[in-house]
Amino acid sequence: MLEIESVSAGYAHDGTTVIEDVTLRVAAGEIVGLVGESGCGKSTLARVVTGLHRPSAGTVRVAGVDVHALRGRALRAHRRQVQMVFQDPYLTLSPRQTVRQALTEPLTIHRVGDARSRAARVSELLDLVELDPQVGDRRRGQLSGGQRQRVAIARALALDPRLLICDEPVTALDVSVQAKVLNLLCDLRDRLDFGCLFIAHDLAVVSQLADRIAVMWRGRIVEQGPTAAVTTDPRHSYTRLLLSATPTM
Amino acid sequence: MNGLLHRPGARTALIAVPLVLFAVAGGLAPLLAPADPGVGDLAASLRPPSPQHPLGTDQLGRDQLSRLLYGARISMTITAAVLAISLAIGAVVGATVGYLGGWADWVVARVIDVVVSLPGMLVALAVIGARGPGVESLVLALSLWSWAPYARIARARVAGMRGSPHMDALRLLGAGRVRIIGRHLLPPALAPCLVYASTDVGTIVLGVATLSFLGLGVAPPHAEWGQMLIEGQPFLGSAWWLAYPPGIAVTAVVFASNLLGERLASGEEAPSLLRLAFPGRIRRAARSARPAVVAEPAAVQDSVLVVRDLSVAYPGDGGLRRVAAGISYEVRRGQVLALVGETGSGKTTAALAPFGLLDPRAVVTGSAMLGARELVGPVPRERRRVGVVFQDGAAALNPLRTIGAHIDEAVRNAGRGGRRGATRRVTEELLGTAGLPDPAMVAHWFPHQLSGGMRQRAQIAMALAGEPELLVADEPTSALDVTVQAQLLDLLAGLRDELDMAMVVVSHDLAVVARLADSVAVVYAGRIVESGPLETLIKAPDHPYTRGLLDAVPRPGTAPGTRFRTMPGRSGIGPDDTAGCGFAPRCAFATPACTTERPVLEPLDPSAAHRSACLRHPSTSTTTDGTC
Amino acid sequence: MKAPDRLATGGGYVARWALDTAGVLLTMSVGTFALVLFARGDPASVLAATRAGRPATPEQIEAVRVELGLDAPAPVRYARWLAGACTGDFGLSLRTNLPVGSEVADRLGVTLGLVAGSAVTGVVVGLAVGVAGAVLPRGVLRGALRAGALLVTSVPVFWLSYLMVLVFALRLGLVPTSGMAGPETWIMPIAVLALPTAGVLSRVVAVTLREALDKPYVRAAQARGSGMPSIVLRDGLPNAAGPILSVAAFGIGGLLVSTVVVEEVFGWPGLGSYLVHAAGSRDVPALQAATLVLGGGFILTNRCADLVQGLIDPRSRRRWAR
Repeated sequence: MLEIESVSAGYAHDGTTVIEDVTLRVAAGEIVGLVGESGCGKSTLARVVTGLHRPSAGTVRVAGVDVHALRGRALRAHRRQVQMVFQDPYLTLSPRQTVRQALTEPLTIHRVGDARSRAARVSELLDLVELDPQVGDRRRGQLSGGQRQRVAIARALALDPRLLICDEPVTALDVSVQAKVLNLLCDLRDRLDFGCLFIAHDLAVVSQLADRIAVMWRGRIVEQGPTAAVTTDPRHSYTRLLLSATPTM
Repeated sequence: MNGLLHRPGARTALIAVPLVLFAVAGGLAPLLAPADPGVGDLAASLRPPSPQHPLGTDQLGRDQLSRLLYGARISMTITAAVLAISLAIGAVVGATVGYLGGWADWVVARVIDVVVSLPGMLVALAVIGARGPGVESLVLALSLWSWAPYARIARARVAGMRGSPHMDALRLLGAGRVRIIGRHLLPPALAPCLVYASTDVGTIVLGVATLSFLGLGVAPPHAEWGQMLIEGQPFLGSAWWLAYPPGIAVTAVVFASNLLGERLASGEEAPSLLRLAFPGRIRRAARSARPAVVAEPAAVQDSVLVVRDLSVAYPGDGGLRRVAAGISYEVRRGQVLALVGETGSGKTTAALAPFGLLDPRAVVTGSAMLGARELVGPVPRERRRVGVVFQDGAAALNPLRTIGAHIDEAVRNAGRGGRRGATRRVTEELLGTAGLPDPAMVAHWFPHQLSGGMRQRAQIAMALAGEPELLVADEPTSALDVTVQAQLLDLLAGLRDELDMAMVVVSHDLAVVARLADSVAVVYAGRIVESGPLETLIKAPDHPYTRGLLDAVPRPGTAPGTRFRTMPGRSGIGPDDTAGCGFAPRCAFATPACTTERPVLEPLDPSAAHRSACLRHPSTSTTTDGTC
Repeated sequence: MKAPDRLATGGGYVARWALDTAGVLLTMSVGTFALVLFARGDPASVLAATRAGRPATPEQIEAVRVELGLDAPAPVRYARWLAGACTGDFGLSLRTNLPVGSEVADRLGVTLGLVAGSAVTGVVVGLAVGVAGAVLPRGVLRGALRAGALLVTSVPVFWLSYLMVLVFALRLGLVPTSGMAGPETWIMPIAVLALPTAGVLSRVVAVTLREALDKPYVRAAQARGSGMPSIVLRDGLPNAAGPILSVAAFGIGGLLVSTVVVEEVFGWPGLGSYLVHAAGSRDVPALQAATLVLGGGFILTNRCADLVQGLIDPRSRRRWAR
């Protein structure tokens, strides 16, 4: 579903290279966890994959199509395939829109159905992320942290993407809420069979969810493999450090 | 603008009355005016107010009231024209360049900077001086500089949102430029522009009147407020009615406009400084009004902090609302107590209330003994025996002072150090103790130059300056990477062991505190629901809520895709919101009795170390069956 | 990571500031010069008529035009005008046929004296009332202070002058109504100018000081045992200093402009009344000179406040150095 081939990227204004020679694949229906400390380049990789940031080398293919070769209308049409859930849903939702309006917007943009079918789809989405229908009339400020992240997930899924990028989606949440959001993501993946790149700094969170884990350190992927292999038999010293630092009971 | 419309607007509406009158007078002047403002009766000149001329007549015998109303009309027309031009140009130019960025943005930003830094009245004077007076000159002269603030506001607002995750999300959803600017950038950019406009009305009205007063605005046959004053100048000593009405009219409009702008721009009033300065006085009064019940077992020996029946309430709509109730805990020397719970559970309140570190409006009752000193009540001067580490190191450090200056002050407050050099040596020693490399250099740095982990270490160094018996840390590692978090937890554990210090650590994550804590108190809905030694609580939790928290902790080594067992519903209720157990609505074990009878924290083992507040006590199922 | 070199970043900041300030002043000079291009009426014919004492002939006008250099293209004239302005030569007044430079110089002293007096009075009163507004508990006194401060900022300066003349000069006879002579004539103009300055300043002091004292680092300072006076001095005022400085500078710079009205009302021979008369008679060279001096003073006052503010705040220093 997602093929990242030797991608490097940086920022022109200060000439730094943030990620270097990253190669990673996500199959349909697979959750791949990407772990690393803040500033290691995880979020830049997410921006490159979604087409928000241009890589300096390498290619990103989603469903076989090179994301960065597309322009204009074709790019916008292609974007339906890849959606993203951000760390802080508070910042990604408009303070002025109700939940229903926020969920309708992607359908309007891509001219999906008519007003009636859109309303039905929005109700379906609320149900999908286990939100009460009456939550649909609230605005950003009237939602709890967990509810906001559910709305963000529902909006990302509105267009039936084949690939979901989750950039630290549970970092800002309480552990008890985090557990519920992680359960929801697992359920949704099983039902909708999308591929998922799950980015986090907490190895424990990722290992509970991901089929495979990639460990990123200073812009490079230093280790990747099946979850059990990475957590029980880490090869790279940074992975071992992460494991020892992970809070466990 | 949503926030503005939803705010209780009664007083705001009252403030706007002069502006509404101004608009009505201006709009309906031809209908309201009793006479023609330009035609006078020389025989009836300089008459004082009478039924025929409610505001008297001027030196040419013209009706003052009519002239005042027509003055409003011309003033309003010019103001409306200038505002419309400024808002349209400013908002569109600002929003567009703010979104596009690049060189166009750079050029426009420079132009705005220059125009904003010019004195508006002077620009107007110079332009009119060159072009000659008249209404068009006036509008041009005022618009020439009044558009710039709107452009600056709109540009800043849009530029701030351009790179935000919100815009990224919209781009990913496939939204085009027009939709993004029109739907998502222009409306929020217009809101602050309109707030600014409410003040700008006054500025423009004042500018028009002043220029007319100087003979450079509206020309004589027309009535204008400033113009009326200058024409009446020779007679001011004798004809008082010429001096007051125009001045009062201008002042009222400008005053209302300033007040309205201020109200719209700022939120609600902050608490009085006096309460910040003298929190004890207010607490004592509150305490006598609500006597605390103290009925707890005697404190164990060598307890550093003993908290008994602590309650915290905030004034709300319907009187005081409690956020924490009946909190009792104690911390012994060389021991770490963790207060654990979800956001809004009252855990931070329970930890900080004894030291007067809450919002000054908080009403704290109960008892908190630090050694032999009671902290609740009079101003706790013993605070310095307590070190505090706050969650957000960036906010808890004064951005204008170096790390060294912060710690120097703490050292001096503790009566250590002495001379400057000696104080700094203690500071550097403390920074070293907190595990910061090269303390001498770090002392010269400002808070923004440190990483998150280093800021927390600096806070710890500061907390240690008073050689405290007790360290309180509020979510000290929440915003940090796991590796940095682990280092900080190890640092705290090391300090406990080396200095034999007592600590209270607040966290939402049982797994985090498991690395450090000796005992744990679980807080739910403002009450402690279970407390006991760490081992017991993790291995044999009793309260269903504690079990729920433990179930939510991810465990490496479980099969991928394993679901967590979760608690239904959400937290966030207060201690007095239910008659029975606060957790009953979310509890799998709940019985009807749970919703009516409030469980008390009762001992589960002979040593009374492990306590739980549950009617059913799932961990000891025999008693459960017995009571139900 | 290395320790910041305070001097180097500070120096870079000052250089950047000087460059920006020069840019703003230069832009303003272009605008001021452009007044002559917008002006209705031909300066040459006005001056020729002033000299001849009657409407001038086309030959006389042409002679004046060449004498003034008005036949050259605009950029050349701007360069000449700016070069002259730098040496105090602004050309001849169209109204009096006298050198504008010396007229401006004569009147500048009066205006600066007036501004200095009212600036000191305004800042002292404004700070005192502002701190009181921040420290006093919510109540009648604080409400009255705040409303009073807002009121004096809303009263038009010209009307305030009239009211004071009516009450203190005409009714009570305590001070003369106008003119500039002994110390007693200074009281009313200074009071009229200082009141709005004090009003604006006190409001900003009250609000920003309160805001600074509500910050988490104040709570942290309490936690480490600092007393209230120390907190106000070290954590409160320095963090509130930015807005206070800006507004104080804006107010003091604004005084330069307000003198236009006050000098006119009280009949003072300052630069402000000179500007009004120049504007009234479309005496463009005089208008340009007065605008350049008053506007330049206003800009410099504000830019100096920016400089000080930037030097206080280590974060902006680093931002500028980058």
